[in-house]
Amino acid sequence: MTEKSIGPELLAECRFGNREAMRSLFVLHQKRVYSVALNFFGGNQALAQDITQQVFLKLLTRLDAFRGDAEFATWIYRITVNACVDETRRLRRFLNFGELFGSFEPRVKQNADKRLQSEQVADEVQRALKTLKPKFRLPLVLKYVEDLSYQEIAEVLQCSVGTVSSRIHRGHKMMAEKLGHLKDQV
Amino acid sequence: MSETHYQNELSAYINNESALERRALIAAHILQCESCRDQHDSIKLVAALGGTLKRAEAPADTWNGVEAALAAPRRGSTWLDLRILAPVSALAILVLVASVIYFGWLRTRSAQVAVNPAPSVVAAAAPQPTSPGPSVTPGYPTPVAPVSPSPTVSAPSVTRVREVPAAPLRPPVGPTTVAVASGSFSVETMSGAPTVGGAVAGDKLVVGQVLVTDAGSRARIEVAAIGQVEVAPNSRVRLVNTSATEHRLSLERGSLHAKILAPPRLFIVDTPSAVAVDLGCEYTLDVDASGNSKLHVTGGYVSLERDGRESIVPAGAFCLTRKGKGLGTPYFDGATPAFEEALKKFDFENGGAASLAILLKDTGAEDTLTLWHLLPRVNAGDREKIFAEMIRFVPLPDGVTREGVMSLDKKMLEAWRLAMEQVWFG
Repeated sequence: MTEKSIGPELLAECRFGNREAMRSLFVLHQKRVYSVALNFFGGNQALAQDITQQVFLKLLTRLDAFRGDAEFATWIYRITVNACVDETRRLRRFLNFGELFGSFEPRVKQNADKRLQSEQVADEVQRALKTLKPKFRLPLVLKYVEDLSYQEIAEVLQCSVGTVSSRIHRGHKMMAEKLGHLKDQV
Repeated sequence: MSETHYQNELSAYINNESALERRALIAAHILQCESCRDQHDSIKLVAALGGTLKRAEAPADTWNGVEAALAAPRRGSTWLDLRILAPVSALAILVLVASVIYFGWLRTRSAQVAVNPAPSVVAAAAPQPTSPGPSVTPGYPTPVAPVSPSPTVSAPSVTRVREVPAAPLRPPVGPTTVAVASGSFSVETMSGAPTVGGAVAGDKLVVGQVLVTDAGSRARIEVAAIGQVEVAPNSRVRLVNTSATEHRLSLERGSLHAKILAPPRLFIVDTPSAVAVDLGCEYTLDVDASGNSKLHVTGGYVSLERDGRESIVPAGAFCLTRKGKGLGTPYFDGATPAFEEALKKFDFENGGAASLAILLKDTGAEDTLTLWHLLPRVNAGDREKIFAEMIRFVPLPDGVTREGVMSLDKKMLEAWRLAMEQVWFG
């Protein structure tokens, strides 16, 4: 999971309020936060950016809460996952408005003639993933976007490896029902 | 036939998360169990599609929003969650607005009652008609302006810098193929000068590239860590995909010899007329200029597949395919020329009853491989004849009935095939 490990000096500088250090921390880890949020929310870039900002704001104002008993990356994933779930709950409260006026999720303009087949497939996968409940969606995102092992996913989600395995399998089966027609596309 | 299924473990198996001993059990089971194999393929498809989910850099201005929020004044030193503050603040504002409206209305009404002015005076004191809603007496703040967030709402808030995505979700890739995973195989020149992408081959074959050998060259491809493929002269081989769940080549022309030690269905070779799926094996695959292919398995099993049909070809057997005409029926290398010729006519030239009659004449125990594959490919009458011939060599195992075979019960057919392996391989 250690894409780039964070040194204690950088962490100490961040705790001290050094903006450059904070920016370095952001640069080191923004991709994993943004990628998880982006794929969790079906490719919604604005929402993913919002989540990324929330996560780093929370992280940088709560660095003292990081005790070092888990990997820093695990901690960031945990905050990201919680932010995604919280945002899902928040959005659900406004679901009726969304249904009334159409999806408020901005998407890239559809143009079937010009878009590449691969992009269409990838979009379809993201849309199918977004229909899963967060408890099935999160392990799949952490597995396929971040390439985490079941053990690492279990640490992020604070559950057992068996639970991760079961949720990934159920997620696979649900996705298979939705994506079976893409067999010839792969 | 084993009654233990492993469907709940297939995701972990495909993701390389199963213990070694479980992997061996599951791999062996997939070979026998069509139901688990279907489930395996279905999950493997999802795992491959999962590879289309990409990582992405956050937009360049993301940090600006964080920095702005960090710089914003904060109430004391405690960070209070917006999710708590926002509803409370919204409620407070609503109460405030309602109070202003109510008391404004009350005061106006009181004034009307006390002074009882003429209607024209009230109209003059009221706001302009552009402000709909209840009338507000001058001297009271209007209920609209104060709705701007209170300090408790804005501090420290996240600044969303960009609302609408302006760029595509991911950079475009090839127009006709889905890049499930990028990667490469190592290539070694065995003789002559093979080329990759028109240039003299280096030591890599990247996904999408074609390795070409001429009459005087040969090359060896390392298939990840699971085996090797030797490419014969006058061949064209494309690397289609390499990922944790699939390593896939396309033999467009020529010949290759593959030796693979891996779980079933991890290594696949496309040809113009069929797909060769490795079930843990060693084999030679030839494709002629017309796109027809000939498979010769020398170790393990290969599944040849096309249009929903499957021929399971064991070690020591051949199988032909014809472009545009489909998949042939496997046969062992001891078959007589007459048998081979009749099978070719039956498979690709509408040989029908005449060819079948030759196939059923002077059969040996090993020919049950061919006959077993023919069972679902003939009508009920011919199936009776084939069954009668097969039963001479391999009795039905427990749980398998004549009626089950005649009605093409998949489990029974599979169980009978397993019993035949004892005859084929002694």
